[in-house]
Amino acid sequence: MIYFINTVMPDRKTGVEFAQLKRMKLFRNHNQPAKIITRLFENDGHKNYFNAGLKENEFINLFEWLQGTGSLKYQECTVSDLKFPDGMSTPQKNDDGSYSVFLGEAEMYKVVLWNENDKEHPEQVHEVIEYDFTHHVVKTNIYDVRGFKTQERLHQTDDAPVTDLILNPDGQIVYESFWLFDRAGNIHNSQFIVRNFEGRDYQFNGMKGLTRFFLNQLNLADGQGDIFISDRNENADWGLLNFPSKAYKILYLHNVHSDAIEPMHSTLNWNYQFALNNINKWDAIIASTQKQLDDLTTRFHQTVSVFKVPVGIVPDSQVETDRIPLGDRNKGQIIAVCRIAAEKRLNLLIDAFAIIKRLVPWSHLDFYGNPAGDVQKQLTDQVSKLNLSDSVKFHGYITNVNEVESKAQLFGVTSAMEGFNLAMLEANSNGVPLVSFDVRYGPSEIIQNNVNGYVVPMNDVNAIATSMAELLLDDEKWQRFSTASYENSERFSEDSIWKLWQPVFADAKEKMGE
Amino acid sequence: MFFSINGGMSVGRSGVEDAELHRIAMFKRAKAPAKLIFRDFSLTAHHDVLNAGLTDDDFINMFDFFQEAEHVSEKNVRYLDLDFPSDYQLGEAKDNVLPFSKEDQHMFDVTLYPGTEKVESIAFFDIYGNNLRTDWYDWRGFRSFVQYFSRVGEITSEFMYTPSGKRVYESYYAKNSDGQRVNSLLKLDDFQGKDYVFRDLDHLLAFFLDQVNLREGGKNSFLSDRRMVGDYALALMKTDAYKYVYLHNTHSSDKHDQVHGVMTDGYRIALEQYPDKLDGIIVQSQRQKSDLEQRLTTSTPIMVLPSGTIPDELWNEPRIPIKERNADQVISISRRAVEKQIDHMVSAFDIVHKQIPAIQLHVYGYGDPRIVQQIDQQVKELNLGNVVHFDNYVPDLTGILNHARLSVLTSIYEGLAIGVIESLAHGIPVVTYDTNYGPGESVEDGVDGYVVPVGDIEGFANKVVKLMTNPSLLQQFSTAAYERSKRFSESNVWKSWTHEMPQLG
Repeated sequence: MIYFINTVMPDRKTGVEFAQLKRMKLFRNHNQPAKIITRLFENDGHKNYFNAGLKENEFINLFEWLQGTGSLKYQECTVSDLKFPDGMSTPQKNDDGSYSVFLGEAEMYKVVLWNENDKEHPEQVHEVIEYDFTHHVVKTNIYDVRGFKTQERLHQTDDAPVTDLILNPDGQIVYESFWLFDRAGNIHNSQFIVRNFEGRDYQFNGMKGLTRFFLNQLNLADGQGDIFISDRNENADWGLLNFPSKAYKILYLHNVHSDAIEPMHSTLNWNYQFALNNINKWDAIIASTQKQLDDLTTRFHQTVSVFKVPVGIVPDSQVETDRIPLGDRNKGQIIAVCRIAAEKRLNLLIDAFAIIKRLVPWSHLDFYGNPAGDVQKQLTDQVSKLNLSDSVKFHGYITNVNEVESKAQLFGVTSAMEGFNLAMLEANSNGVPLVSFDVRYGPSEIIQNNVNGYVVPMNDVNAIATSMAELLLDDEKWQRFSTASYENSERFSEDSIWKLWQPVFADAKEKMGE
Repeated sequence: MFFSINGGMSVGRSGVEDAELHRIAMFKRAKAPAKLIFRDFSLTAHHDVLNAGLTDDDFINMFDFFQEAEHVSEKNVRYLDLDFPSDYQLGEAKDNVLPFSKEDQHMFDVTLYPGTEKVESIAFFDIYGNNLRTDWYDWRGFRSFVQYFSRVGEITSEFMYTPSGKRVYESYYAKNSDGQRVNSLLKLDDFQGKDYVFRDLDHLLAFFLDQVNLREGGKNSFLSDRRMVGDYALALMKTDAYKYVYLHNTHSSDKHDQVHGVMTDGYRIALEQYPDKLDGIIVQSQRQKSDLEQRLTTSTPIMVLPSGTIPDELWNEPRIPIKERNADQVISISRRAVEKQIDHMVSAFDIVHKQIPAIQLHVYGYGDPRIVQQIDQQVKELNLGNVVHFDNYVPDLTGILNHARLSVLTSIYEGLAIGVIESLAHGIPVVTYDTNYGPGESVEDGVDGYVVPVGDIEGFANKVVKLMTNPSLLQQFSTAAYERSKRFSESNVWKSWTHEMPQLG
């Protein structure tokens, strides 16, 4: 089995989740079994996998595994399916959509439904709060969206939650965790206990130990020799590198591993610190670009195998898609698709746009992505100071990226570093020429300068502006670049990427035996 | 079935438990089905009753009933048999506590039942030393009871399990207006397909009594032996049953006026609030019955039914003449508790000792630590260390009763004082205060002993001296004691029970 390690698979995904989903699709199309591992407890996690387009057997969650609910199907559990103790009133609906259950005058239960948190199943029970005769909360019964009690939370006398009990569908406790004071008097999730796993209890101080246990058990259950790909490193790498059974362990670098301007010396990206300080414990390292692998080797002189496999994959359907001419696009539209975060340095793109706007009055700039921190506010202030509010818009997180990109005319990137940049490749596969600074690593890999876009010197805002203006003003040139963009994406087609995986599989086979 | 309700049967029993054991024995010999009901949770109940000569069939523990654990064959769960991950290490054991650690973290403590390798509890800890959870193992070898804790180490929640691991009971705590932590919700999970919540132990006990009544075919008899345990639950019962309360003690703390004195707190429920729900209020003496009849307005019958019974066979045993008994031996069957006024007894024997230097007093019964200290001090000050001796509870007093010449009691109040009856039945005359109730009635002044006004220490001492210096008078009293105590023989007492409770016949 090949496992892709992650933490959660939320509806709002970042590059790592998109990369895993693309890889899963590639593997699926080549009949290569694989599973995405998630490791956080969620009572609506299961539906998120399907929302992400995953099939049954393509994901495994640590807690669903402990609960034995990996293949449990949805069943209805509304307020009328709940059983209350003897003598209770029928549930009375409250103004906020919840229900209360009384014994005489005393409210003993409150039932909270999923409501707008699950539009498909708004009547499904989310939690049942249990009160004592003094109306203090003694227990919260939390339900999985699939319709079974998944957790009991025990409260202390001031109602603060202290103990979480995770249950299997038979009501047996399979896991406990505790929220208690550490030595500094802060509340800390101080202990995890796996209960009655094959007859034994296992106690852990944190996610690292629990992850080690989980991954080891998965590998043992498969008869050892599994391939584990660490895509999301936090709290996962330690467990992965330290479990005792035999497996092939891959570090997949989605991002730059350090400040990309001084990649030989500057501080390591904290996500990768543990992984790279223990670089020779891996069986293989994969990065999207040869350049990043070269930088890594120069710095670490590692002895483990390295492979170039871009995280971006252009699906066959996209390669064969109808090419959209300029006439069917939003003329003058420049887009940026990324998290609205400081490291993306979108202020530089706005500065460049201020120049473009003077040269190309019909141009406009549209941002798509999740705002992080107060960066968007700073950018909005900048836009209004430059009197560009009419032509610069922030659209937030979107799910119809392809549709937006197929309508755009140009795609801009002004980051100082990029591991790859999936959105950039996607835009290019939609015939959108790219303009970026010459940064490590993705942009200079995806852009062939003067063919499907421009790579301009680092921090040269003027060059970004003039390159973009040139393409916006010269339709014939734009068309040439757009056609080259469609063709460029063949370098990242399913076939091309699948071929790049073969040496990885061969190395794993050689090291693991059969 | 006749059920007697109590909290439990601890190893250090008091008169109430002794009375229950006598009663069970009496019912057994009369072939009338009877069981004890224990309300309180106990890990060792089934083991403890062995000391009292009972078996699993003689009692039902309420929590056992809900835990489906009334009859569980004993399994020896030794710490060696617990299945821990291999990287857990046993540290240095301290007494019966075995600490386990993994790497440098103290993970849990296994506590063993003293003197055994049996697991009593396992307490789990986090890296900061917080107690996370404690699992308690029944003596019979299953995880019975689990406690979870708050951030300051108070119990938040308690769960109970069946021997096969199904959770059947939950209880929770809240702080009351005095800031004390009290049970604020008791819950039965899936009892015969349904959940039940209770606001306190009384309501749970009442529900349980109803269930037992139903299981035993309905219309059984229930007797509450402890006012704070069973009385209110009897009033709360919903099913049809015979219900009795048993007064083991005086009903007013005013020792001089039991008719008008303030009623003892716990007795108000049965005697003043819900007497009409009862089929009988049982006392042990005519005097208490007439006092109650004067103060109660209920029409519920008041019955005189001693619990203290003496096996009939005792009167077939050869009588032991006074001259064959230890010449200077005086006994008292009396705990060292405040109401027993042992200090009066010691003072009296200070007087007696001056006239009979060889006199020896042996007091049998457990000591309340606060009282023990005071009495030891008194004995030391009076230099009576070689005269007055204290022995803890002795399960079988027969040998002692066959060798003593006189028995004494200086209590301020009593329900019956079974020790006095046992003394008389073994031919030992008794000198006692005129205590409400029991002793003043069991002993006939000038016939089989002397009854002295409460607090008359000198008069008490004089009567002791009088008898201990006059063997022929003592022999006369002894013969009378053997005879008169026959009214406490089991067959005589049983006759009274069946007379008052025709359903037993």
